[in-house]
Amino acid sequence: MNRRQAIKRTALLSGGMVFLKYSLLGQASSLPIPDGSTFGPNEERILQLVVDTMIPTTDTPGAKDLGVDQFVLLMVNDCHSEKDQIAFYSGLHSMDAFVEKGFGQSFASCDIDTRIEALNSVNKKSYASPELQAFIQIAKSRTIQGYLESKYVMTEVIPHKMIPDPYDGYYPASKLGGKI
Amino acid sequence: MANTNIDSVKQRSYDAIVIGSGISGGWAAKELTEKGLKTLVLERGRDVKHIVDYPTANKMPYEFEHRGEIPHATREANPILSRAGAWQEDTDHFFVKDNEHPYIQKKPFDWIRGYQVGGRSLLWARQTQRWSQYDFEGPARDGFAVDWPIRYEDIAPWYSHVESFAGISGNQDGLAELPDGEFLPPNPLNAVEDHFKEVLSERFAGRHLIASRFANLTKSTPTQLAQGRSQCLSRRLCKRGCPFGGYFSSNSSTLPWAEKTGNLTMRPHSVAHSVIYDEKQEKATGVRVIDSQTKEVTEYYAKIVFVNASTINTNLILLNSISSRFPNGLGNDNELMGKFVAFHNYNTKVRAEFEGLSEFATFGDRPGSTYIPRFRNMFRQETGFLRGYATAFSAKRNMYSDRSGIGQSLKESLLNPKLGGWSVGAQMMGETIPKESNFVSLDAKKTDTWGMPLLNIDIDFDENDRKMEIDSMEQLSEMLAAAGFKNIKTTQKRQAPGIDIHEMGGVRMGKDPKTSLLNEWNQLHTCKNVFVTDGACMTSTSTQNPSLTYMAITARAANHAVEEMRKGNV
Repeated sequence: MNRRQAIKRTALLSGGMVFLKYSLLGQASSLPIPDGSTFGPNEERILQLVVDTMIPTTDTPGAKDLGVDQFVLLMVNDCHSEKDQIAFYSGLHSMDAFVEKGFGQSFASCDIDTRIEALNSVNKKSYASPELQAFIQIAKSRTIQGYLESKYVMTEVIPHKMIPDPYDGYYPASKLGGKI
Repeated sequence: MANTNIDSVKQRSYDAIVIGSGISGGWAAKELTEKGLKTLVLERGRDVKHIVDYPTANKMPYEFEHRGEIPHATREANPILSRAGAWQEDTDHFFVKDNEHPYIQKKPFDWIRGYQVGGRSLLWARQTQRWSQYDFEGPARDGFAVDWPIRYEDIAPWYSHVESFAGISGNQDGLAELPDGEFLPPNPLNAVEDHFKEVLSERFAGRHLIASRFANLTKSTPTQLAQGRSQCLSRRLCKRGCPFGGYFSSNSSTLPWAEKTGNLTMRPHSVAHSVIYDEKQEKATGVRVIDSQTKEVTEYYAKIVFVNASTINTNLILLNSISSRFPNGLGNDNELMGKFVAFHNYNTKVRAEFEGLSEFATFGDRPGSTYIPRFRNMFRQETGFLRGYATAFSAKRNMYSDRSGIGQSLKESLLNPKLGGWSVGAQMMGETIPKESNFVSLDAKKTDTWGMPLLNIDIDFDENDRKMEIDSMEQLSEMLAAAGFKNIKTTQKRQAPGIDIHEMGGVRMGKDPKTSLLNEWNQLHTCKNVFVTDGACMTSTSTQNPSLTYMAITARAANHAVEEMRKGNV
């Protein structure tokens, strides 16, 4: 093992501890899902894979490691209209059939590149239903929110300052990566 | 038995009663208790103690189950409240839900309320610009409402009085239309705000951009340290209640100050039913109170009564104060009570982008922004509409991240935000003209949980407001274009009145008892030991955020009340 590999392994190990510490971010609400919707172990698995595909585990935790799939469900159940909810669950339920048609296998059996391609194709394929598109759109925006507003990201990656720095209205843009 | 009754009455007797503990009630309590008056403050909501009752003040964003969002079902159940931008998961406990205190909307009106000790002073926007002589002279000059019985000179020392105590930041700008005051250091402007300011001063005579005056402590002086308040840390979480007392509220400032005198009795859960009028003594003797929890009715007695229940509830209580002398409400011989209610017009917004000054960005945060005082019809009538509008203005440069990808590229983009361009926003704050046709009244049949009549609210915009909205979009666009801003976009909303949360009037001040309810000291013309010093007393609205003026009017009236008591006049 060279030094580079050793550092990577340590990072992964400590990352693993981080995963444990920050998982169980939120429990999905006990609110019932809309009538006529299906949400079983297969849908749960697909949602997990979707958030994991959107923001994957790298040398830092990804969305699934942070329990963001549970956050997405919580927000869909509590903060979206019934119309959104019906579309979300129906779209989620139809994922496998959609992927099967375009890629000849279930979403879960796809490798990572195919999963990304499958998600990207939702907005391009004419046979993608409006419900499926709504599912992807809601899942993506809530995944991004759940990830960025997770305790892990807000404390260890981009620390959130409850007390901001003193105001500077002439701060050099170059220090923030801006063009001069 | 007789003795017990006398003791009981004695226990319920005070020198003064203040109805309401919000921004003006808090000031009445402070001034009266400081002058030695045993004062009972009635608050219809629960107690909120400074710091200990701010449960969300130090919570991180991820500690809120829905990251700040109010759940959908709750929003659906509260269509009125859901239009208040400040109602979020972190402030939910400070807002009245739609079904808790219903009212009848003859026309759409969003009545946003905070029933708790401190009222809406916990939640206010904290902008504190003085009125000028041109504001007080407005109705007389332009021929609407009635002439104010006071002028700027009458209130100027009281502006100083409340500014020094509350702690107001600002510049000495030297503008006749927006008088200077007792200020802590101003909020800093940024590069683009300074640029716009310069262009205005060079190319638009009479139009000025200044740092807004704000009730946040940019510095702690001994006056605020003595109140237990320290410097504002720019957290911009004011509406949760500030653990540092960095902004002014009744809870952080006036009420604890009043309590320290030993003269304050605070009674939460007290719905004021009516002011009691004694026909023989020809004056008010106290307040009838319904306990909001037990619904038990108790009478409290005092030599003077300050009504500071917030504009619309003050109208409700006085209209409900019926006696054979005053069958239409206390002091309401002319039947004008409840009428001439006005508000502020926030219907238009202009946004734009700026490509220059790209070498600068903003960093950190500040509690304030900038302000363009009214420039239309300021010193003479010059447009096709009456009065004008002030403008809140701010520029910023945000960080953004490309969210189009999926997978590792998305993750990297989210974790490495890039600096965006400058964007600016300008929001009109228009004066509306008080009219007899904009009014509140008691419903003849329907009552609330406490047996109080429900209020009918019948208030709307008019043609003058619409003309002013169009002018504000044209003028702001022209000013921004002249300063080199690009991609200028205007929006004209059609929101209901009320959501500005600046409702005023109904118990207006004036010189003539035939056309007004209150005299120059905020006493009811025909019941001089009752004082109304909240928004209900306002004869006109001007354009400035009104709270500072309520505070100054209240302090002035309270000190006059004490003098009059000592002389035996009330």
